[in-house]
Amino acid sequence: MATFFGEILPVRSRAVDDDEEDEDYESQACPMTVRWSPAAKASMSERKDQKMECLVFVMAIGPAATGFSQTYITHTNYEILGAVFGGMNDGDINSIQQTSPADKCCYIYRNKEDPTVFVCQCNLTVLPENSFSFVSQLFPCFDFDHATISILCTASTSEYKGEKPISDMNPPFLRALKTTKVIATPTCPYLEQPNMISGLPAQVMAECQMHNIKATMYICFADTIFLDSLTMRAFIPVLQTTPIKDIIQKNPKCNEMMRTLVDLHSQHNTLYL
Amino acid sequence: MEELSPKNLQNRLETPAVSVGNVGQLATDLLISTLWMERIGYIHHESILPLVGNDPFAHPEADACKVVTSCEVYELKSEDLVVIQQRAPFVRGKATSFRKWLMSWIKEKGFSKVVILTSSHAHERLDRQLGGSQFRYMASKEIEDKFGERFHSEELRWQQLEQRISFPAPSNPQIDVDNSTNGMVYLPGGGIAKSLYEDCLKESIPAIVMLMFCSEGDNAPDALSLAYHVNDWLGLYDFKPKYDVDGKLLKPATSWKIPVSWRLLFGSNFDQTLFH
Repeated sequence: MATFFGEILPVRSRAVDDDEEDEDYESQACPMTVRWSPAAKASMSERKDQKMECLVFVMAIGPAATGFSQTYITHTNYEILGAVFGGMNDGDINSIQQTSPADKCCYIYRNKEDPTVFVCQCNLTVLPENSFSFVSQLFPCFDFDHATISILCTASTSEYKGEKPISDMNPPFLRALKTTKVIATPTCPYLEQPNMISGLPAQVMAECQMHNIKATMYICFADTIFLDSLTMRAFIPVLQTTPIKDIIQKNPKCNEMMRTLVDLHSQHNTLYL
Repeated sequence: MEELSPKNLQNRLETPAVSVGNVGQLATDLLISTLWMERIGYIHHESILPLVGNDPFAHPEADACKVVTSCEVYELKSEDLVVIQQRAPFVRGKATSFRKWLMSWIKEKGFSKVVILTSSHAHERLDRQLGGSQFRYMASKEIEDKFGERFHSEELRWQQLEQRISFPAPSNPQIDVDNSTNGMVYLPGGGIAKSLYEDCLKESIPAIVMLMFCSEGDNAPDALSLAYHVNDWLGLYDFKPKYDVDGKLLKPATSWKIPVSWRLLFGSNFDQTLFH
């Protein structure tokens, strides 16, 4: 394409890249791996189909959703059952106590009192290309026939399109999507067209829709790139929804826990060294 | 994975290719929206990036939720038409794997013909493609034999995609090939359209590629034009007004039903007070 100044610039399409057809191109997708604890394997071996029965599954994706989940759901009475690994870069760190904001892990928790209740807290950076692998590894381990799934994730207000300007929307705010099998109305408005969700949350939701599983996704649109308690607290209305309201216990230390989480991330949020 | 009604060998398949300006996909949106096509299944393949949203064909005032995924199959039984709509691009390096799967699915379902909607980079046009209609087509022998006369009639006046001797640089205009069999198909920015078309030819499945030359931008007009061309040929929808014998208007003239997903192309409305 020639510009006003007479130079020739390459023209790129946002939709298609002709170089993509090169069959020698090595796909960036890398497989994810799930590892289960002995307790999980024991549960799976109890059934012929090698699956764990699940009635409640909460999938929290990203620091704000996982921070909320840690503070309000898995703060007591949960054991780690398994983990999903993959997509780590050479520069990524994982500390044993998980006290570094760079810790990127995805643990699957089970309620000690009710073994049909699971929570997956995903702080891994899962590329959209790897989402299929993630869900293909995780979902076959569960019997979701009678399950109700809640997916919690965040998105940026810069990606949100609405009739009202963002300044009038008072972020952070929640939006929801639900699969056909869910009859109840969510606690917040539905995500309006033309907004879309991509990546791992979308893969999980699509899987639920295609396999006719009851699932509701709650998306928190926030205008900060750093973790803050306001964004985590935006998920609080979700605590009144089925099935989460039936599995939570009050956390008297919730404010303290949130402050710790925010402090953990804020050490790396400064512009200056 | 999808469930089609018992194998209907009259069924025609329309599929867009993810191409420059997403014109094929936008035109497919218009077909699904205007013809009130019914979703009958999903295509679940590792090569397509994930995407979910609310119902793109809902009424603008509707307050309901019907999840849409990245690749779905729609049907219009009355016209023996099955349509694929793909809303997300391919994982880099996996388009070929999808194309191979799609070919095996097309063979399994026994579609009578395959219509591929796509677009091509406007900046790669030959000189003689710069003016006039920006629509082109490329059809297999069976379709050209059956419909060629209609395509070239006064009513449609379709032009076949010019073939090239050399590309990407066009050859000397004097020796440019018109519709000779010595040239090659050059469809830059067309996504998997060319390869899928060639696969159909190898399998002796009648196929046609319908495309618009365009650049990235607001491609709704390109999509409308492509959709009109499809409708002019297949006669799926009658836009003209209908009158009864007394001349009373029964049905007004209509146009394509723009899906609600086309809203806010340029983002949210801005705060008007910024510009006091």
